[in-house]
Formats: sequence, structure tokens, C-alpha cells
Amino acid sequence: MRPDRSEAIILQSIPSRERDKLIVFLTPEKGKRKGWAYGARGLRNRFGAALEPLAKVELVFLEKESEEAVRIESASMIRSAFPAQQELARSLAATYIAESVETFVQADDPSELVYRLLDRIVEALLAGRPVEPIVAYAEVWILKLGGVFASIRHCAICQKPLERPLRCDIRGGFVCSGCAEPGVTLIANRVAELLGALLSTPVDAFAAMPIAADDLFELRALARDLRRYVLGHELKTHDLLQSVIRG
Amino acid sequence: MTAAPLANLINELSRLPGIGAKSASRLAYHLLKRPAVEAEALAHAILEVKEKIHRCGVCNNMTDVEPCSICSDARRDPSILCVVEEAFNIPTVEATRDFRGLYHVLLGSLSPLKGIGPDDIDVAGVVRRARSGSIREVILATNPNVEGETTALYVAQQLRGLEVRVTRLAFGLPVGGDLEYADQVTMAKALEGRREI
Repeated sequence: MRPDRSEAIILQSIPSRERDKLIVFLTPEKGKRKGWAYGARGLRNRFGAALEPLAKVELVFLEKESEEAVRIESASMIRSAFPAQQELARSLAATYIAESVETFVQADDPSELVYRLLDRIVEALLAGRPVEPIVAYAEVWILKLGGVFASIRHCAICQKPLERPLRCDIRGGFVCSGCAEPGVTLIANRVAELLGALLSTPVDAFAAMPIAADDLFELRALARDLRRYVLGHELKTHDLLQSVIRG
Repeated sequence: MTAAPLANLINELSRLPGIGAKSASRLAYHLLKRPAVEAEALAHAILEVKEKIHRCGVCNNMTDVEPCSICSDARRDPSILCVVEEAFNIPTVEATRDFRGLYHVLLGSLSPLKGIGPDDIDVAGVVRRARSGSIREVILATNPNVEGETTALYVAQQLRGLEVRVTRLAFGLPVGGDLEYADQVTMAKALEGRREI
């Protein structure tokens, strides 16, 4: 067994047994992985705060072919998300985004784009940008990188350029008027523009934009409907986050 | 082939937290070697605890009397409430001998990923006690991790507007540790919470 080394972002830290933790982490090269951190529950453990959710770390781990979870040997902190987790809405948003990534990223599948997305999103949370636009950005991009949120330029069925207003068929993405079946959702032009801006703007710039609350609500509702259709259920952290964001 | 009663004991022991199959087997064989009276004492202690121990109706601590010995201790300061996640956190705070206030056990921490929301823990009990008017300070002694911090923030939010001072246990360097090995979050928190000497 040779030690492997990788930069990673911690997605979940699950207390297990008397003194250990099972860690779910995302690496750019190998996607989502699981690893045992022995002794990590103790107050004076060698990992410190490096295994807390959304910490960016340099991990050294040992891998056995016969075992799904690696053994985490060390974790050096590159950047902690803890300062962003000192505010309730921001902390819940961080947990929600980590759950979204964990849900949509496959194990052992290279995930450089998702990794970079998550990295920038955590930066935006740490920079104190408004929480809800960051959450919307994460929701749409995680769906897009997961192959759920289709192109807003071409019809998902006939590939013709899409006209306004956009029509969203929850089963297959955005469709043109010719391909649209009864029951498609019409997207208001201002929401379509917001979606276009979201898909072409870095997260910190998007979160700094003046965005009407109604437009953000509608955009998030679109992402929510697609996500629920794909998963068949809602993410566990969604409702609590919403109750805190909406006060 | 393990005899059925022994296999049953190993199986039951291995269901305890922190006990794997090997430890359960070792414990079972140890019990077999000991006199029957010791096994009876252990079995009796387990049954007695299940029969007599319940949650205190005031603070959720584990107790055999109502209210618990801490809630009914007139020498304690009823104006300070220390909020912990679990009843087993109380002896840790008590061991300091510095805290003479009362406790409230939340019965867990907010953990949306595990499906544990605000209604699954006893935040309402803390708010109810804080509203009673006799509490001057609420100390949030939840675990120093993201879940504990989120729980503390949530409880603090629920207490907003009440005339109660809400404080959080300090984060910092462990006594007897070495500065060289402190991680950046703990170090940053220790610097933030530095005090004049």
C-alpha cells in the first residue's frame, strides 16, 4: 500500500464508533471518496479542524483494493470554512451545498469542474456574499454539471435555437415551441435572463449583482422542481435552510 | 461452532456503541470465566438502570428522582443555564467544579443531514426556561464542530429578544498541548478569544 496524496474538500464528517469518523470528501481527480479517520473524534486528535465540512485540505490516505473506504493518514488544512459557519443561514447553506454535491457526484468519477465550483462557492460564502444567490448558483450549476440542467440555447429535442419565453419540460430540459408538449413550464424572460447571467458569471460576481427577490425565488423553484423530479425526493437540508433564509 | 447462548451474548454485546465483534467476544468469554454472582450483579445493574432512570422533567438530565439532584440543589445558581447536547456532557462540565449553575440537555444537535431538525431536539425547553424570567445567562456548551456550532447559533437565534445574556464556550488551545501542533482554526479562535493577563 502506497500512500496517495490529494487536495480535497470535505463533504461530510460522520462520527462513528467510539473515537473515529467516516469522512466523505471530494477530490478533483477521483471524485467522491470515503475514508476512515481513526481517533478523529477526540478533542486532541491529529486532524484538528481539518475534517470539518467544506474544509479544503491536503489529504494523505492509504487505499486497499478490497475496501471501499480509504484510511486517512493526515489532513493538512488549506482553507477552513469554519468562519462562514459562524452565521446560521450561511452554515446551513454550506451544509446544503455539501449535501447537493454529495448527492449528484458519483464515487470515483473525476470531478474537476464540480471541485472548482465548490471551491469558488465556499470562497464566496467566506467572503460574506449574500447567501441566497450563492445557494441558487450552487443549485443550478450542480444540476448542470450533473447533466440535469440542459442547454438554454438549443432545444433538448430538435437542437434548434430556443426562442423566448423559455419552455422547460421537467423530464427533458428546455424545448422549443415546436417540441413542447402540454404541461411545460414557461419561464419569464427576466428569470431566463437571470439564469443566463448565472451561467456566464463567476459566483462572487453573481452574488454581488442586484437581483430581485421574486426572480431569485422563481429561478430556485425551477431548480428545485428539476432536482425533485430527478431524485424523487428533496434534499434533507433543504427545508431547514429555507425556513432560516425566509425567516 | 459457538454455543447458542454464548453466540447470543456476543451478538447482544456487539450491539453496544464502540464494541465490535472481537471486543464482544472477549467480553463474553471474560464474563464466562467470572463467578455467577458477578454476572448477576451486572445483569441487575442493567435492569435497575432501565427501571429507575428517566429524564428529568425540568432539564432532561438522567435521574432517578424528580426533579434531578442538580435541578433541586438549592445551593446552585438558578440564574445561569448551561445548555449541552447530551446528558453525558454534564459530568464533563461538573468535573471543572467551577460551574454552579443549572443545565439543560438538548437531546442531540441539529443535523439536517441525519434528518434531525429543530423539532427533534429540545430547543423549546431552553426558550421556555429562559422566558420564565429567572435565567440571566444561557451558556451554549454544544460540541466545537460544525453541527454543534449550528445548534448554538440556532438556539441563540431563538433566544433573541429575551432579556438573557447568551454566551458560547470558548474555543482554544488544549492545556498540555503544544502550540506547534495547533491547527489554524483553533489557533485563530484562540487568538480571537485572547485575554489580558
